[in-house]
Amino acid sequence: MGLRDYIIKRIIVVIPTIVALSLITFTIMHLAPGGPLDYYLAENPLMGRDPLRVETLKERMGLNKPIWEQYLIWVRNILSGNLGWSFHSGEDVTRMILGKLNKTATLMVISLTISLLIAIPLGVTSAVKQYSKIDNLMMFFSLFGTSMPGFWFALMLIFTFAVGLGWVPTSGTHTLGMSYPTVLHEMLDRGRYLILPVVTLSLGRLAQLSRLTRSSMLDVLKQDYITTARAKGLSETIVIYKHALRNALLPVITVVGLNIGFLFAGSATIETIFAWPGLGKFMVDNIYKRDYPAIMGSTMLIAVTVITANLITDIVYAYLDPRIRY
Amino acid sequence: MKDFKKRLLILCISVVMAFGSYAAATAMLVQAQETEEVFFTISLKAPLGNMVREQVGALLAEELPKIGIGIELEYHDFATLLSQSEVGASMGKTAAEGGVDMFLMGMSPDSTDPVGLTSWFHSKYLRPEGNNAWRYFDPELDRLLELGETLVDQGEREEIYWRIMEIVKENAFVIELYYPVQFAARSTIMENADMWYGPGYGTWQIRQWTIAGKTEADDTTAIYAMSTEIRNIIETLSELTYDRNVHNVMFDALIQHEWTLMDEDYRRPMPNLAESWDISDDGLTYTFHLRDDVKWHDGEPFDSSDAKFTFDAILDPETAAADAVYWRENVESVEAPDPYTVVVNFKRIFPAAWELILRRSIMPEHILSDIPHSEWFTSSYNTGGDLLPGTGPYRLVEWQKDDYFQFEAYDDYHMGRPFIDNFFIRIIPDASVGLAALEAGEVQLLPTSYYIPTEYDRLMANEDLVLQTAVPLYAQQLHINAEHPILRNVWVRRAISAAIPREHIAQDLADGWAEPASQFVSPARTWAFNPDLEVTPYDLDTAREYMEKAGFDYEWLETVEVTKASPLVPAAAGLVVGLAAGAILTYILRKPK
Repeated sequence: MGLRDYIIKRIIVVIPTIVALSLITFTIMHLAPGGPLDYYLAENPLMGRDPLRVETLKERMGLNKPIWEQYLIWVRNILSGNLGWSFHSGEDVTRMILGKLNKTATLMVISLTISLLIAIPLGVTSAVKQYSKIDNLMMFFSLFGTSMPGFWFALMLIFTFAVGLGWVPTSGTHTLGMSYPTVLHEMLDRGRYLILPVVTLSLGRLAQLSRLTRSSMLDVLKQDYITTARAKGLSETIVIYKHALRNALLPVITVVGLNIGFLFAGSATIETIFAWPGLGKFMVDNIYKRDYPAIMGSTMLIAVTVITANLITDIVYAYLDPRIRY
Repeated sequence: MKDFKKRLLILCISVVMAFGSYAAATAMLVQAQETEEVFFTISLKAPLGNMVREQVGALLAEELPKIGIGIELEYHDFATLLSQSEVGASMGKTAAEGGVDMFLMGMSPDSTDPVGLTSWFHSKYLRPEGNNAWRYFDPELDRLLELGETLVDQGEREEIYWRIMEIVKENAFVIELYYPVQFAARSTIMENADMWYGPGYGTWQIRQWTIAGKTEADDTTAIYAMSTEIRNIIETLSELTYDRNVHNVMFDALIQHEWTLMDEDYRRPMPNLAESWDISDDGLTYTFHLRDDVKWHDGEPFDSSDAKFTFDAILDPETAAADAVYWRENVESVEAPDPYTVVVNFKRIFPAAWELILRRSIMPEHILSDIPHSEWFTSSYNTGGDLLPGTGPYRLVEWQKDDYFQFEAYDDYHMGRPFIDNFFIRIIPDASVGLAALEAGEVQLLPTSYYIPTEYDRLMANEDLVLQTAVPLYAQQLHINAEHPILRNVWVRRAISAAIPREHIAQDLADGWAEPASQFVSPARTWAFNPDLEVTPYDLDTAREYMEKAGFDYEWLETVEVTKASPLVPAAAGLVVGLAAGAILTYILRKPK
């Protein structure tokens, strides 16, 4: 089938996937023992003294209705663009998510970019000079990067560079109470706060991506067309970067695309440590507090993101490699 | 092909061997396990999130079998455990039925006046309608609790509540373990900032803060760290301790927020928005004379209509206001006969009126009157879309959710502008990072929620910091389902209490950061603390005596295996699966291509 048919087919499948996801999430969420009021009660036992208030709150949260009815109400709301309001703080869920999306996205995009900018040349060098000192160093380093717990490393960085040396701030997004004369000042200030979280996040990803690039390059360099290119008399640089790398990057891009969903969830620890008000910590907190509308809203956001990322990856792959279109 | 088959055969054999060795290992483990002699086994549930408490759970699981009580220990998160305790309390279900047998948690009344204890111990206040999580019914306890709410004489009330504490301890349906001790920390440059009282400050205290070496003319900033975002900024809707960190700087009440906990002055509140008041002879009418020089942060003048508006909102069930129950049960109505007089008419004499009723902050009528009460929770003024004006010493200038609050000193504050010009509250969720921020000078004040006992010595050595040990406000307790078929026997419960090594918990598990508890409440929390009650000593012989009184005979112990699920079953299943897999694979390979 042609590319166009393939795309259409893939897009059609998206809709039942999202519906199924929402149904499963909703069910599991309600199956988990305890509800939003149980958490509130834990924080404030005095609330137990006021059953009328508890009942009013329950009524307002719609918790008295049967689960299927609650689901249908949620669906009806989301179709009109309303994700509901948070049980915990009363804030509109859409607004909450948008407010945090920006912060997580900044962190993710910057750390991913840096990871790729370092990982790809590193992986290429390792593959080209296989078993050399650089290669061994990189292998050791990537093992270190993958095995090290992120939050421990983050704390070590904070205590060494922020408390001990005072070169960077410990946590937060920007200096409180500062007025910025220009945009450049603001960017510089915020940039300082980005350093430690980005370093922590990039390191883990760096290890994985550089190894992937390396093994992918090694595979590609063994191919016949590489030998042909060399036989044609092309310089080694062109062979590596123009012919080999392009093909070697395909798996790397696939992995990055597939991992985008995990970028949101995996950032929860880093966001907690660096007091970065992002989506990762937001989601984890909501689950703990049983904040149903917020959980549904953020889960749907991740679902849509992952599905879109996968869709784009699949389409790009199909475009590049006609064998994939079935 | 033969080579390939040989390799696969080896693979199959390895799989079988793997399963086989697993089976053998678990079988040996089962043999090696000590079988404990217990009369019965009960479930003990502990919430996650507090390392010392989790260790206490493990400790009890080891200690109680020594007197013949087997323990099945489970850890759950808060919401799960609370919903189970609700089932246990409201429906009387044991752990096997989806409720609880015993669980660990720290609970405490929320006020200095022990009138709140009624909702804990009275028989009609079972969870979720109240806090009674134990289903222990005692007419004497009910009678005393009701009496304590109605009497006025301090001496008489003290006697009653001390007796209540004694009865609770004697019947051991909630067993006190230890009072956790915490510390708060601040920079030495912050002066006059006492941190021992959580939430740490109020409108009175925050105005006393100064910065060393700076004068009024300098631009000063103080930053306070908080570990979680607040729930509601409209004070009427919230009573949470950490929400008060924000409320107590931007809003005022008729009287000052601060409640010196064990000071006799608790009965003589300090004036704030009300400069004086009269109480009628029958004690049912409180007439407050308000100041005429108070302005809201947006310039609107404050008057009695704001107070009446706020109090009427509390009385309206649609608002779902915090502590509304105390208002509904005790307040008849509120009137504002003239712009600077507010009259609160009580239905009956309520001794805790100052602490639980009259301390609510006043909200701006000119802002909130257009919003129906039921929509206050979701309104933009509560969620940060719009900034709510208050009358307090600090004006809210910016609120970035989960990030920070920014306050500016209010020049026209009726009691005088505070010293510190800019006040920030930063939200730092992780305790270690909070300490790091304090050490790096990024925050100046750390409340007790950031305390990490292992860091104490290191922080004490830091000359730029001042540490304050906070008096413990609550106790960690062991809660028992008093209708459990076995635990309903008071001697069994007393035996459990006598088998708990409280000193060891305080000194070793908590590393000295705890004190063994003598009763349900902590001495700093309320004057209902009975000074004559002693910490129950750890004595296994006494515990065994109590068990015998309960009717258990140590000579007739039946042997029960502590591990319920025998690992032999999964081991055997593994072996069978391995063999089957091996057989199937070998068969598949025999088929001619």
